[in-house]
Amino acid sequence: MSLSPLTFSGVSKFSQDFGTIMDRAVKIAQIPIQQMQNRDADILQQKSLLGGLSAGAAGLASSLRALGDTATGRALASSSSKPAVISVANSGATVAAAYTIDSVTSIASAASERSVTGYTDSAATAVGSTGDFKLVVGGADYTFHLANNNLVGLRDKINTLGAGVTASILTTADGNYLSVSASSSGETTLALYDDPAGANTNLITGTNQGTDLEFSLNGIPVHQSRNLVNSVIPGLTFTVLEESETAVQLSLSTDRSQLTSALSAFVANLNSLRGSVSAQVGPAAGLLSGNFVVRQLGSQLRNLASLRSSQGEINSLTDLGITFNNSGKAEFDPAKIGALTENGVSDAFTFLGDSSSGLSGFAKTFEQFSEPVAGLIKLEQQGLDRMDKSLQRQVEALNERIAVMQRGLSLKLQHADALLAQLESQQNTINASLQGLNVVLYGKQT
Amino acid sequence: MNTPNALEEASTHAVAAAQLKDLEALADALEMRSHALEAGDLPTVGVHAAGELTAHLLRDLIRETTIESARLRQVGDAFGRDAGASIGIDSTG
Repeated sequence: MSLSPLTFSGVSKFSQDFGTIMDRAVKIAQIPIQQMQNRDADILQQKSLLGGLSAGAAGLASSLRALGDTATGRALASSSSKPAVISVANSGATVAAAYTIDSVTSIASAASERSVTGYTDSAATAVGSTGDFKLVVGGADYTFHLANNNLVGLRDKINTLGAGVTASILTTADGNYLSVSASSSGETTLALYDDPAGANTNLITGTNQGTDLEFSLNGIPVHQSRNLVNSVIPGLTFTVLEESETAVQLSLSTDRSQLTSALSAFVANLNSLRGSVSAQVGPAAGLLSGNFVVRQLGSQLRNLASLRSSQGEINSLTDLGITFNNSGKAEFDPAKIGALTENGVSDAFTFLGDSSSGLSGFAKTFEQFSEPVAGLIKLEQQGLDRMDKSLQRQVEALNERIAVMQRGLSLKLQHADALLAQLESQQNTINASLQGLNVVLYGKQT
Repeated sequence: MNTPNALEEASTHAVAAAQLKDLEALADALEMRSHALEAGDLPTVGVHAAGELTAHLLRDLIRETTIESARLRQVGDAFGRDAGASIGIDSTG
């Protein structure tokens, strides 16, 4: 919608019936203004409602994905019969299982040695006989020469080698000692030789060369340098904390509380989105009544609620304890999950499916609505954005016209005021003249 | 030299211009009226009455213009407020 340009252009065009033009122009201006005000308010409300639907669809999709993850992972929880000896975590296991760590004969520790002798002045006392040294860490040798042949110089040099060890100085009453510790655990060789080309004397002790983790899993001996074990049992990660002569049981078993928790979240999100959609349907529908997104969401919610399976004990949401009351609101009875047989739980996982099948497969459907860049709701909102911007441009144009009209009225008032003042002055003159004539003609003023 | 009825003629023009709300024509008529008075034309009761009628019409015009201006201000203020409210809306909701 647009207004015709105003035909008057300034103070010199007063020959037209300015007042009538202004009156008509203002009346015309009011019509589109009200229309645009109403339209703009509707657009804002529609955008807000769509935002709510988007959030609802995203929430439902997220809970559906969580259900799929729970089903795929069989809701497995890990446990250790002796958590103080071995701590355990499920890192992606998909089958229930039990393992026995028969014994832990050694836990992994890092090599750590000190200089055999103490040095009086760590910054001055010579450490080596020639200034030449060789550090041995595992199978790697690091040969170097010290310009500052003292404890500080040696410590700093070792720390720059990148040998996987850390050197420090221990200060005691008997003198200063060099401490060298491996950065990682495991049995190794750690030595520091003075004058490697000559006397080749090891300057550090050889009492703590590190240890490996050693244990037996279901009768199979396992030997590794770290206490974190994540490559032996698929989907199960455990950490050995101390040695043990007795067996430790590690198990992966279905935790039904994970399933009930995921289903509760799903029902909450389902009801949230259903409420938002219902508010835009029927006689009391909001501004999104008849909207494509609302229709599609409603259709997908019905598809979701009526999902059926012909396999096993779980054939519908009802079998999972999810029912719909008279108003269509979903309700969840967790006791139903607790009462399922083991086969029933397994069938529940099948019914829930994964990202491409079963109930969880609906996640992709609802993400098509809520996707923040190219989702259906985003595209709808972008269309509303364009309409809003168009309205704003028209608002600016009309505001400019109103300003022009106001300036014209102001000039008109100033001119009329000046003329009235001139006229009043003339009337005073004429009045005085007429009174003078009355005195001359009738001998009195009238 | 103005004719004796120059003042009456100018007053009549002023009334006509005021009725048409033609401020330029009214300005010309009042200018002619001033010249006639300065030239010594004698006023009549009719001239005086025409002046009063012109003043009355002019006051009406000022009042109408003032009202129109106020209405226009109302429209502009209300529109400006709502227009501003629609700026910066997050389309993600």
